[in-house]
Amino acid sequence: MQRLVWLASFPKSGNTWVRLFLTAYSHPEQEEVDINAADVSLHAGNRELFDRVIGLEASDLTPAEIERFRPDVYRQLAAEAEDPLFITVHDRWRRTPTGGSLFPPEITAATIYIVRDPRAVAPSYANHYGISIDEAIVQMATPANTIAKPLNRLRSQLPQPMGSWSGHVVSWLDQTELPVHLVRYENLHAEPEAHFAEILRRAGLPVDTERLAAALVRTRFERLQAQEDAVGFKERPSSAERFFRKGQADSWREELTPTQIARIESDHGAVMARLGYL
Amino acid sequence: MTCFDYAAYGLIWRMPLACPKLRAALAGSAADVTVQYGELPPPPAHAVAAGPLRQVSSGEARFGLPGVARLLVRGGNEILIERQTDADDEMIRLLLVGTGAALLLHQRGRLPLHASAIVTPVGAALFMGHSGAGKSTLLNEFLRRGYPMLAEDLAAVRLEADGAAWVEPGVQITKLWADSAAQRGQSAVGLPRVRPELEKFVVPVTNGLADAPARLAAIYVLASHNQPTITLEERRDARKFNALLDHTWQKLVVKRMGLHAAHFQRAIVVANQSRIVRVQRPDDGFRLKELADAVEADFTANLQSPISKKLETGD
Repeated sequence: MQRLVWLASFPKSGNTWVRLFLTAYSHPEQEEVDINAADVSLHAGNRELFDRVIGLEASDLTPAEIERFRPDVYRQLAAEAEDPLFITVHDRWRRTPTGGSLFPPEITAATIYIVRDPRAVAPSYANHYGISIDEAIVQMATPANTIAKPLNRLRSQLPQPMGSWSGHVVSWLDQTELPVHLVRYENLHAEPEAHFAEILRRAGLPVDTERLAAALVRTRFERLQAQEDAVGFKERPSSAERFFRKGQADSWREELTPTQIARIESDHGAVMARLGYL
Repeated sequence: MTCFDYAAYGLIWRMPLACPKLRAALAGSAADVTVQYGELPPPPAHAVAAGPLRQVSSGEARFGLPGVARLLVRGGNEILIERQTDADDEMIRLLLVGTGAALLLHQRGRLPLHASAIVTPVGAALFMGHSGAGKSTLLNEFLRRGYPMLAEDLAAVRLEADGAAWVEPGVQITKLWADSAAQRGQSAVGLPRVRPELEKFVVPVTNGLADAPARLAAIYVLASHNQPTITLEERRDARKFNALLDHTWQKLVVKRMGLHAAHFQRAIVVANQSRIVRVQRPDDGFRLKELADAVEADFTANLQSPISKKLETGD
């Protein structure tokens, strides 16, 4: 039953890169990884999945009711899965209104938490949501920050409370129900072989060095970007010109003003220091 | 005990509570489905779970929503409701007319599709899609254009002995989120909410629900994409069949009720006789008028009315 691997992160922290790597690794026979067919993973906020498993439409339920049934959706996925199933999560870790963990430990094979320097997240987040960098910085410091927040219209995903960047990191690293393997985006860049191999090991997948090297080549940033340019990427929001934007660890040094850098460091200094970013 | 008789999905439903979203049955109609309050018997030993809220065996399906009610749907003609003491009627109706009805329709050999529907001069046109695809919004635009309504959210397809597919009239209300209502110039002020906590409103249907079933002509599968264009693409072969399976209500329980072979067969028969078109719209804007124009042009240009078809084939 312990078949789910949570790929948790604040948005724009490398989650998609890891998923595409896992897809490429699982399909060594394909010359190119198809960025529009990452079939080794599902999204924790998938509304259609919820409706199918629960048998009642989330669009007729209150946010509290949705929250209550979400763990059951994941239990059903674990029951149906044969191989490790990766679930992308942008929610902060939390308990449901009835007190259980939103991400049930008994079905969890591993929890990978991907973190990225918030100074690098900010410009990428701004591009993704089509907002200014200053607005991105404000949202990243907002405790009520929520993906697909319930409004006066139906959102394509279920509501996913994320909280601030710091709150998100702390929620996952300080909870005690799921052992977490922490992965820094910067380390994935600097030493991809070692860090991606560790992700495979944690997920219970065999590590084949040749296959791993080939999967890394197929998921090089330039290749993903070229594929997006050629055929488009279905996960790109309309608000963003492109999804695969820069893919660098430290381009924030040119993209942010000194004031913006100071603001991020002031908002998140304690957690940044804890993670070695300051 | 007071009961209320309604006509929906081609059946007469005898209900223990008033359901204004359904059309009253003609006086003296014999009930096809009896819905009653009562204690549920224990599930049979061979019942299996279908997700966390449903248990299924051949011939019956149970659905329980904690704090609201448990439903037992069996034999294609009976629903038993064990309601919690503080459950409100609106939630009971929601379970009954959606999930409960879909389970029962499966048991009766109908194909319950996740679609809204209108009657056009060429037959029934369905707008099929997952939650949020725009089924109700598009339906309301076609109602505004004067097309009679046939279904909202659940379209019940019935196959006749000769294989012809017909769509039965469903509920007589539509549900719209506040922004969709605003888009069609409808203020949400004064409209009843689907649930007190949601910005989703019950919108009455002014020009009425169709009186009779309509022959199925076309199915538009609604989706959005991150492109600025509205595209229509006719589906062929297995993709038609897959679209029907993907948008079947309660698809998780079909196999567990032992109905999957019959369900597949029905989907094949429906796929073979309908025009099925995938419609994609920009995900950052509905462009409702343009979308409805494109769909209207498609069924007008590509389908013939049942009368002219008859003349052509000479039967």
